[in-house]
Amino acid sequence: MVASRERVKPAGEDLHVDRDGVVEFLTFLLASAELCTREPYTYGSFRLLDGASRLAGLALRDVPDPEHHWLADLKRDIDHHKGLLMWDREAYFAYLQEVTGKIVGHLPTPAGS
Amino acid sequence: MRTVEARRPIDAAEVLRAIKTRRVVRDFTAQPLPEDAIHEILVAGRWAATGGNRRIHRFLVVQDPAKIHLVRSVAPGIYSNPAAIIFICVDRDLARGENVQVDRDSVVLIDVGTAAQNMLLAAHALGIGACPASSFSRAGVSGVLGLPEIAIPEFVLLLGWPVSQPSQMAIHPKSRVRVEDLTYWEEWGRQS
Repeated sequence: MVASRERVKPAGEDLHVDRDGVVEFLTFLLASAELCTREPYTYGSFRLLDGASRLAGLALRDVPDPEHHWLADLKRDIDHHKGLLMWDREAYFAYLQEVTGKIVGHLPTPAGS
Repeated sequence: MRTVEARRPIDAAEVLRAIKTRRVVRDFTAQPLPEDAIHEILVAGRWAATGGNRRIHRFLVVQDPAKIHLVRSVAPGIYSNPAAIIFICVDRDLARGENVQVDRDSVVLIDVGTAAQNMLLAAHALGIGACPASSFSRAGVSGVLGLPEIAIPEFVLLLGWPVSQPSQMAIHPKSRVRVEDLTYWEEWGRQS
């Protein structure tokens, strides 16, 4: 049953990306796809990480008090660590191992649980 | 035999200090750059060494925030908000006039690099932050800036007032290399 798979977002929280944001992000993805064919392979992961930050930024545009939103904290955390690729690759890889764990607590919970 | 010291026509210490203290600056303030400073940076690019003294490159300066925003969309390598961007472009028509094979002659890109390095140093000397960027879609940049087909954007230089001065920027020991690590003497692999 479809209903059993529905998940519920935290009360009072909604995130949107408007039309311009969608086009902007699509453009970033397409340009990144092109660059991934000629840049060092680790840059692919960097583009995804940077893309996550950019998407968070787009979603925060219409959020009241965006500075104190959890997504802003995640964006700041990503922006603080992504540059590690340039000077400390091991630390960068270690960050990749942990960053997903920082968002899973915000996944909507399954309906009825 | 004349000493190196006696042959120095300019203040070598200052030049070397500029070279050694330059850093890539990625965080810029929102303050615009003065026109004369941008002009000085362009002059530095103009004085760069070029293969055969051919001048097949053109500099395109963009300061319009709306255009910079569009460029950022097609340039994943730009994740800051510069006050100005200088594009170093190859002009295919000029190259054809000089009998340069743009797609086969590596000097074309070497000339881009010499101009870029001069501009980076000039910006540093003026206290302006600069960041080279090559991670951009050429078709994307051409599209958002309306470049003609003969213009190939090869290099992007981001400029702006730095949030932190290079002297205050963190040094990352893991990425430091010594000149000895980079240099062989007389034969490949011989380091002294």
